[in-house]
Amino acid sequence: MDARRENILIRIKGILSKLELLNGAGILDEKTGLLGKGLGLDSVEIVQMVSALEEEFSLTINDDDLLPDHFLTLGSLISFLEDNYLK
Amino acid sequence: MAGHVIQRIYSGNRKSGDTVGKKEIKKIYQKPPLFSLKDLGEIMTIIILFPLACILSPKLWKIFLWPLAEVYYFTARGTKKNASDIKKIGDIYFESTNPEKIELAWVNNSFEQRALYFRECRPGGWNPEINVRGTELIDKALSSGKGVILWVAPFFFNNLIVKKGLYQAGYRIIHLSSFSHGPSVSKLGIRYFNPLFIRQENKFLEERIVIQPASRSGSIKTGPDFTHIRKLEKRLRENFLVTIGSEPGFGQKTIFAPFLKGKMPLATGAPALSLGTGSALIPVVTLRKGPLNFEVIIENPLEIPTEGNRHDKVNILLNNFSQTVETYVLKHPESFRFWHKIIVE
Repeated sequence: MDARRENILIRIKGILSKLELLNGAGILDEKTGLLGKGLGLDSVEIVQMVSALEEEFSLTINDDDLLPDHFLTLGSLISFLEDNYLK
Repeated sequence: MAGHVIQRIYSGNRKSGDTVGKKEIKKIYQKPPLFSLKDLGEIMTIIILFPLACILSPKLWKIFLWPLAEVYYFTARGTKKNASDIKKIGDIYFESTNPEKIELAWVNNSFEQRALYFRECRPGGWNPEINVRGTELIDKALSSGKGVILWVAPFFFNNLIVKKGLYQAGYRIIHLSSFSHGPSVSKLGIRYFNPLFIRQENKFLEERIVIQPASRSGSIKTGPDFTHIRKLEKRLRENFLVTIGSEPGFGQKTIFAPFLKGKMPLATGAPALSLGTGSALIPVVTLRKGPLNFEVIIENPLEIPTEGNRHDKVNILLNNFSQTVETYVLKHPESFRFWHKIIVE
């Protein structure tokens, strides 16, 4: 994993911890699921995480981009942010 | 339209506070059938009940509609199912009230609830007396500027009467709704039957925020998109009044809360939203006092816990809500709609 992605991952982990969404999960890496298997976040938790991401990275995520595919895993979330908002 | 019906399957023998999610919930995303046998029942209901509901005064429904309900109870549902439901109510309920009486009241109320919607279809609607008690609690909560979540208890008549009553009391309401809201879950039913009911509710709403089906976006395995929650949060920040239902077992993530002698699976969405936005979380109960007389009771806001982690706080709020519902069910067992969703310990 390159340093940039590593940095984003660390910041996302911090957000998840602060929002108490880790649910006792062990090691978190890019393969860790956010929805369903993994952290099992629901819609409310995802949206609260999105608000925290917007604050952390000083960006605004479009409502049209709130698609489940972007939040399948930590890796897919990082890719989504890198490709669309953190250029 | 189309979409996917999200079903929840859970097993019994759970401790209160257990999360019904992740490994334990088996999510089944399946396309709704084009048509179902239940829809035949809906067609019959509309043909028979609609004219009766529109023409007959609600004061006469007991004479004309209840016998129809009882014919259904004794024939269409089958005696085996009846016996099982009656036993279940007897297992759950504390008091010694005859569970058969509660079951019969359930059937009568199911018919009358449907009839209310049909009567609302009349030009000019209909004008029952709806006494909304506790509006000062809503006003006080709104003064904080963070919006209010009205958590509507799972009682008969709640869907239409709460909206109508609050609208008549001068409130603008945003309602969170499933795309399949209504009596039918088939494609044709969602398209043609359910709007008959939804339109009557919409008359009293500022906005209906709909949870979209999975097929609209995203993969089949992950569920609906998240725009509905985003919109809901925005409305709460704008200090709106938001109503969220509490049908047991319906929700992306549910937790079992103690209820009478059993457990009620309740969705975590409303309390989680309250914790995240700082909006007051207020239980609302609907009771029917007579054929043309209803009461909407606004309870005190649930106290937001200060200690414990997020899961603990959600758990406490769910338990407190369940206790509130239980208080009313003990006095008005005929009003409770979802005996069949309660898990018996």
